[in-house]
Amino acid sequence: MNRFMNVLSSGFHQVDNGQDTLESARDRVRHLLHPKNPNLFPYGEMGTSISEMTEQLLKSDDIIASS
Amino acid sequence: MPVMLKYNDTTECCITKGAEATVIGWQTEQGPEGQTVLETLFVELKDPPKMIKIDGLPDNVVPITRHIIATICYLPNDDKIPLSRDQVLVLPNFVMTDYASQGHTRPNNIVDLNSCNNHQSYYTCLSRSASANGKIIVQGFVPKIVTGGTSGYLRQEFRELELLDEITRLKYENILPDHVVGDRCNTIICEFQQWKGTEYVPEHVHPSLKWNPRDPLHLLGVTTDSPWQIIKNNKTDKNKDKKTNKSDTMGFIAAKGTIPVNTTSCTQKRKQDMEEPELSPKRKQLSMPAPTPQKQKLVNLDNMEQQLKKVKKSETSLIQKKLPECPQGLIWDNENYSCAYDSILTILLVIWSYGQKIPLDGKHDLKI
Repeated sequence: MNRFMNVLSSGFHQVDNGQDTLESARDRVRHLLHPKNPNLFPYGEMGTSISEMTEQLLKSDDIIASS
Repeated sequence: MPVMLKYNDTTECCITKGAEATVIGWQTEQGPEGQTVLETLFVELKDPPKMIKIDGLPDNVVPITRHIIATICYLPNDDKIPLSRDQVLVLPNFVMTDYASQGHTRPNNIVDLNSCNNHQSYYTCLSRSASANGKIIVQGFVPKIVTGGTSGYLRQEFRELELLDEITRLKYENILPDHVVGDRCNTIICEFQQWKGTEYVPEHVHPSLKWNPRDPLHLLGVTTDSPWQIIKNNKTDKNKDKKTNKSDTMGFIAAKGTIPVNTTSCTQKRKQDMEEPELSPKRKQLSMPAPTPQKQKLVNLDNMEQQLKKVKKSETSLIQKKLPECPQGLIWDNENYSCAYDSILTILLVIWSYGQKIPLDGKHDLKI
């Protein structure tokens, strides 16, 4: 699990316990992604690529296999 | 150059789709960019059904003119570009596929069977010439395709055809009982089987198609006809139809009066098709007492499959129960558009909540 997913997961936990809202959990992940690549993950009235975001969220920080 | 005509230009002059010819000349003109473009192609037809004589041209020589074909290209960004292509509709004809060769006769037939996938294809290629003389097979091929026996479906179809043949003969000789009637193949075969019994095999059936108690031809299921309906050509009715169809199905519009396919009959048919001699002994092994280690493995695998199926069943039923408890989704941020985040995060949230709320056996836990 990478750090974006870590933040998201703990956000979900907090939402589950009634300590936070889903929107703020989303925004926390967004704040992390934006500085990484402002063009791909912009703020304002602009769209974001779902495939790029999915890749960022689901990729692993660790090398699983190499050849 | 040998060519095949691809358009029914003038059928009276034998300029028909699929006709073979040889290029003997052409006329060119200046294109809009100053380039030389083909204007008319003159071809000599190969064995036309009648002699073609056009003034000023040799026998069987016909002109093929250009055709304009308009098309619209859709780009990935949804832009549309209308294009038109100006071409003489012929193809080089040094070789042709089995599909294109259907209906042709070739006294000199050179075939490459290596890329043919099924026996129908083999038949089409090899039967283009009536004799073995003049036929050349250019490289190796897989004889198993034409000697490896028929598939279950094909065998079933041939057997049904044999029965229909027999029914036709009996009908012609006026010895078919009156109760054997039907307006479709299935119905009449079923009636015939009920009369003669399912083990009856007509006299001249090929040995490889004959059925017996070990390899039976089961009683065919009767298919009931959809009732005929007269569709009124009325605008209001049409709109009604469209609405009901759209709401009932997701994209798929079933024809009026059609009956959904019975799933059990499908599996029965598949079983018939899968009747492989190697499969049945394995199945028997599973039910034998005191299994050897190998057999034990098989039994365990079978048990595991059953358990997994049970888990999946209970999982889905739990999910269905839990779903209403899940949050409905995220509120869209209209200042910093969040559509992409909302869609992905909703999916991840549902996966996460399954992992949290459904107690599984650890191995199948879906926790993020």
